[in-house]
Amino acid sequence: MIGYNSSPRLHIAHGCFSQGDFGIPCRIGNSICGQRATTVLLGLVLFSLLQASSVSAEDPSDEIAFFETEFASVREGYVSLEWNPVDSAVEYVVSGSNGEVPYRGAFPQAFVSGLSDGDYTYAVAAFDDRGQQIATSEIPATVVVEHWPVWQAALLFGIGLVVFLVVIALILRGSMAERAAVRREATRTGVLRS
Amino acid sequence: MMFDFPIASAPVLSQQWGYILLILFSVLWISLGIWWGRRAKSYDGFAVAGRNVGLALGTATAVATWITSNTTMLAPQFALQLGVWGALAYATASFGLFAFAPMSGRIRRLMPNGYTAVEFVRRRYGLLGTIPFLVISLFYAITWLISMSMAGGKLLYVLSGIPYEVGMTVVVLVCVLYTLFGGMYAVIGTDFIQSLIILVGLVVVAVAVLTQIDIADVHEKLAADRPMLLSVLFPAALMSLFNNMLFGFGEIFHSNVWWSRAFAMREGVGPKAYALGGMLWLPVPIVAGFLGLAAPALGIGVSQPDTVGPMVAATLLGWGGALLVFIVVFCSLASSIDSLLAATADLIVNDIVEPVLSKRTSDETKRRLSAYSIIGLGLLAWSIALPNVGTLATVLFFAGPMVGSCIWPIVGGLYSRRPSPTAAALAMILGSVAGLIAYFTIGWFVSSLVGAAVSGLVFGIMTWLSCEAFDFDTLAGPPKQTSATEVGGVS
Amino acid sequence: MIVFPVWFLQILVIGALVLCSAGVAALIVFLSSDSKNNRIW
Repeated sequence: MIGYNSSPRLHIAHGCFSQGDFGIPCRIGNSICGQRATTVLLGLVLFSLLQASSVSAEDPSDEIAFFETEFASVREGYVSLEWNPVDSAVEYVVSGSNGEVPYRGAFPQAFVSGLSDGDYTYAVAAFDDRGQQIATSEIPATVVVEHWPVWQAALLFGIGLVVFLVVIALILRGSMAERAAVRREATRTGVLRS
Repeated sequence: MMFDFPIASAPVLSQQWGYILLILFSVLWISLGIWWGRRAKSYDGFAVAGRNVGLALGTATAVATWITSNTTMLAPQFALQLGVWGALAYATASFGLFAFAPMSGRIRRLMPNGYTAVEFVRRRYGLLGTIPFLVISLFYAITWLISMSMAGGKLLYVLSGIPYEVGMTVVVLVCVLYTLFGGMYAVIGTDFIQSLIILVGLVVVAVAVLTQIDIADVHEKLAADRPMLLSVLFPAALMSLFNNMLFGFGEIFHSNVWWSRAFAMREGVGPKAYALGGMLWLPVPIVAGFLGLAAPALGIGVSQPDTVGPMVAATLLGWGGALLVFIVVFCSLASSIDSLLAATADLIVNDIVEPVLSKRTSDETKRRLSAYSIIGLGLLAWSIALPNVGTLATVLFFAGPMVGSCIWPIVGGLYSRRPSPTAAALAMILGSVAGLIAYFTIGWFVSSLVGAAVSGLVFGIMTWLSCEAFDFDTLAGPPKQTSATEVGGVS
Repeated sequence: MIVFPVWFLQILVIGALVLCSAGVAALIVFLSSDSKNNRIW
């Protein structure tokens, strides 16, 4: 089973690996699909940013900022926040405006999912090995979640259900007819033999 | 050098252990391939394992082939993105196996000497239906093969730090070698061991998770922080449900991977094996998906949703968990790559080379041609996967609408006399085109659905207008030359 | 928002685990019965 990977990743385009990244290059929805060229461009920019950061890794920098701060109209309720790595940081903590902590970990990226409709703001802070906060983001990431309308989902669900049921009905009818034919054949050969 | 900038995930296993496991399993699969290969003397033995595969191996091969690396890695991601519905949607792919179960019995009966799905389409619909079907089949098989090879390299890199080129090359080479030596015998034989390893591995990891955390805690945590994941009316998840299912239907109904197994199984085994295979596959995405849902409750910060499965396993079970994940992933990769190599080689030999030569080729020639095809396919996949162009793997998803539009021509052509070649060809072409347009204009979540729906409409109307009466007896083809029969027995 | 209840998640996960384990057992049983009748291949 292939399965659709509904989460597009920028970093795959610039050679950074993550498993399961064999998905479609667009987020759900045409509005974002239309921005594929922008996505590729953005990927290239990110790529050069990352390369630049590895080059300039020697001079310590205590600044931390999200690569992308505006996520308008997120239709599936999930978003991937990324920020620049800070040299002496061992842990990053992403916190939301309502006090929730959706991410605490060592990598400069957080995947937040399951958000319902609404506006969310996130800040990220970096901590060193003594647990001291060494950097915090100045500009928060704002996420506006607007799920697809339920009627649209219900419509597609309905069409899918109809196609599914017709396929199944066709197979059931066919295999029942075949079973009857096989039985007839068996009795016929049985009669011939006796 | 491609890896010298930070990646968002550290390997969960040391490189040394990665290599040890890689070598261990490579030796195991290749020696099993050589051992089983002794049976594969005739072409029938090589291509369809002597047409006498029993229930145990038949069931296992259905399960193992359908569990790709995506099932074990993408299901947790799907659950983390689309919640409970995401895991359920993934699990519905098993319906494809249930639906194919009765079809496999009929296929085996109608074509006792058949080898491929394209052969069926050729006899049923003639050249008109064969051309679009062959194009779709090859597109799907080759892109799947390439994306699995790439997945192999990436997964081994992420899990153990083995360089992409090395991991990818070893995965492809090992699969080519054992398929080359053992043909379908080796593919089906290794599938049995692989499916056992995958199922046991998943159960162990999931039980370990359950000893650490209660399902009620997971529920509570999700309800508080990620409420949509528990929502019954999650729009994106509801939209993707039938799209995924129909993609799965299309994949199984059209692909020679599944047809060659229908031919390989002993008379009467196919329907049982496919139905049982579906039952065994059904829980896999749910168990794997639960790992994804448990991550937030376990306090595991998720950087990339597609690494969540191995991260949960490695966090809870430490080194042992990482080892287990590596083995499970390697098995799921191998079980699908080998099947694709074998089934696509059959397709090339029987449906391209033989018709082009337009004469009966001897069994020995076909056996040799198969070997060349397997090597060629392996080389093709390897050379395209080597540069690791990420966007390439996404081409595979164009296959969604294409395979979705094969559902009706296959089911209709198999059970009804009336569908005409024109109906089949138009259904495949118009369905694919409409599905691809929908993919780009609306979104991925409608592409297979639109493909299946449009092709269904076209196929239905054309069939209703037609007055064909196909003679199913012609599907059996000309009587087969007698060849050295396979010696049965216990392996 | 209508959410999936806890018991649904419990049935889903436990059921899937049981089914997985039963699957392993079934495969082994099938193999032994097939090999008894010399009908593996």
